[in-house]
Amino acid sequence: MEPSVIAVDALTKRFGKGKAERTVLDAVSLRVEPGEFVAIVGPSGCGKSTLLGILGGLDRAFEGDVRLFGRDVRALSDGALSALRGRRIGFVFQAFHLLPHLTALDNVLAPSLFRKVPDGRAGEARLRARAERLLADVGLPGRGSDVPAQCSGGERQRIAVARALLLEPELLLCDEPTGNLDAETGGQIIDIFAALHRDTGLTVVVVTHDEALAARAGRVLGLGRGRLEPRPDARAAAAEKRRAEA
Amino acid sequence: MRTAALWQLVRRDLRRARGALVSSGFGIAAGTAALVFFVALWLGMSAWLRDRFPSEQVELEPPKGEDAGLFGLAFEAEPPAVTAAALEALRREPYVVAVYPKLRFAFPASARGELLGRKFGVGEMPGDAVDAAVVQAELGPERHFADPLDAAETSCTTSDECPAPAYCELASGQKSGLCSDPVPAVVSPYIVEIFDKTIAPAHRMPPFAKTLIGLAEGVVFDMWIGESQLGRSKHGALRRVALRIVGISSRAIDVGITLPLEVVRRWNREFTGSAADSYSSVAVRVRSGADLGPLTARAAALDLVPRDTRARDVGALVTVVGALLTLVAVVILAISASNIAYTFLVLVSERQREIALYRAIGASGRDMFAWLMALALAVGTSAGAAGLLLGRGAAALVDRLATAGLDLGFARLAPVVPDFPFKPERFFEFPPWLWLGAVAFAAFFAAVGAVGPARRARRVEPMAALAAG
Repeated sequence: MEPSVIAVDALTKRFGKGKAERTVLDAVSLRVEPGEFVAIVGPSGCGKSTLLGILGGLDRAFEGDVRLFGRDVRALSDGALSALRGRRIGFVFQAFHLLPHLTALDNVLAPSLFRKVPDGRAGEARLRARAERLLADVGLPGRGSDVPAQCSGGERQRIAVARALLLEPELLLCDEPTGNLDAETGGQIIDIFAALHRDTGLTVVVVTHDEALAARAGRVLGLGRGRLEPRPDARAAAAEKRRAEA
Repeated sequence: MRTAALWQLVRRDLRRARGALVSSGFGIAAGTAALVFFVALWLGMSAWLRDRFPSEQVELEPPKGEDAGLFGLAFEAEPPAVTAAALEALRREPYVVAVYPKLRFAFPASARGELLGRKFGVGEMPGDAVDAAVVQAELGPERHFADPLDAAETSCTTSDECPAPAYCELASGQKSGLCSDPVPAVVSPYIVEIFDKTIAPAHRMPPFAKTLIGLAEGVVFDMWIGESQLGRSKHGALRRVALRIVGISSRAIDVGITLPLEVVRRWNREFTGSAADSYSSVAVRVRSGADLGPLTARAAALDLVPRDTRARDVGALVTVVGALLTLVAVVILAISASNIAYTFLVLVSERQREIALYRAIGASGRDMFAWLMALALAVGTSAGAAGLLLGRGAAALVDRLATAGLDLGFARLAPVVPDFPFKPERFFEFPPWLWLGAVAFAAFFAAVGAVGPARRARRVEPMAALAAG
């Protein structure tokens, strides 16, 4: 049987020490199966990004058990975890985190720096072609030579999405991907995620407080007071709101 | 991480942070230039000193206390000597490369002659003798340094009976001798220097001693043995012999002339009446200066002591200079490494988010470490190469200023170091290893400086760094 993409049991994360200690995640458990589109919603500062960082193997200082693709993230060496992250997980951040000194195309190609490219120059050429195609897919055809400073917020996030998809990940982790965008641009980004999920079966986990984005997910979970609970109402409410607006 | 990808990251950084990297590289370049300059100077001076006072060679002789002194003069005591057995014992030592026995004149001598139309005379002619093999390599195969009597066949009773420039080698008390070619003689480079740097200026002459000796090669002059300005020998009769200068040798006595061993042995027997098969001293060459200690100990067991301690003194001087330069190198290391450390620390602090992003998209901590170290190596290598050229240029300029002066077109600067005996032609030595070593040195210490920041980059917490952005 194929293991869960994400399997979290009794995950607890605390910040600070002594009297200043604060429990952000309190015995959280979660399963994400291949092909799911999960949204985690909650107010600012509730620990959504912390949870996403742990799910992506970027933070291993926690209590409990976290498995990615069936592998215990704390049992993996730094090299093995980094390889797993590079090969099977894509990240999209609220602040885009593009490298300002690189062109859009080089930003998209950045993950390939840390991965062995088979077939030498031919392999590199294939990756380059894929990066150009991805830019076109996210609505930026022919913009590969632009630097981030020449792009709008929406365009930057599109570049970040293309970067996350370069190495054909199985899991896309998105941290407030529409948080820095206006409603229209945010909507376009949401459309891209939905299409990706629908067309490729990509597993997507999004943490957001954008209800419109959450409404496009197959499953909505709410994070509050350190607890993660199902929020089917959120999806229904968002759908209702969308219908009303239409 | 792939090498090509690593190089791509480094190349981008060299473009991106060129201001900071050039300024940190400047420290390394200056440090390397200073180091190259000092080490080359040290090497140059060491080579010059070793050439003058070979640290791997020492002259041994019997202790002075064994000399009979004034009593010897009264009672004609035999002076202490190096025996053939002692020579053989020294030859057997594994660290001994060569043993050169020496024999000093045991008779008074004076010389008179004519060179380039000028008459000259030396009231007291000091001299010694070495084996032909010792000087033959310096003279070349075409010039012979051997006892001419070996090839003599024609008997004679006076030199008038011999065809010039031959003379009659007729020992004291003998009725007939043999017509002998002039005895080959070599002089030391010291005489050349003394002439050029001291005598020639006093007589307003150009420094042409080498040329002079070159012209004098083949010149025959007369030497009187058995008597000098200081007196006559108690044995033997005053007689004239002919000498021919055949060249310059570093093995020759500093002031005087050096003749073949067999000739002086024969003359010593004639004028002292002793038939002992012994030597005045012995020059011993060892593998390196480090072997001088064991050699001195072995020599003491054979009742021999170093004639002078110049070799040891030179060795000590070279060691002290080397130690000082090593200290300079350590200071340069500290300065350039701390400079790099600071720059890279700032660089890592400024790029926390970038490093975090790289971690998020698949870079391992080791990749980040490699990135920073490769960048440091690139900076160190480039700065080291620049420093090397700077140091080489400064050395060339100083060499020029010290030896020949500088023609600036509009003005001419005289040499800043006045002429003195054995003034080196150049003060700096740049062996190939120094070129490579300087660059490697710079790269290594740049890497040392970057280790701390690189480790810090390795430990960057991606989530915290990304959240901070």
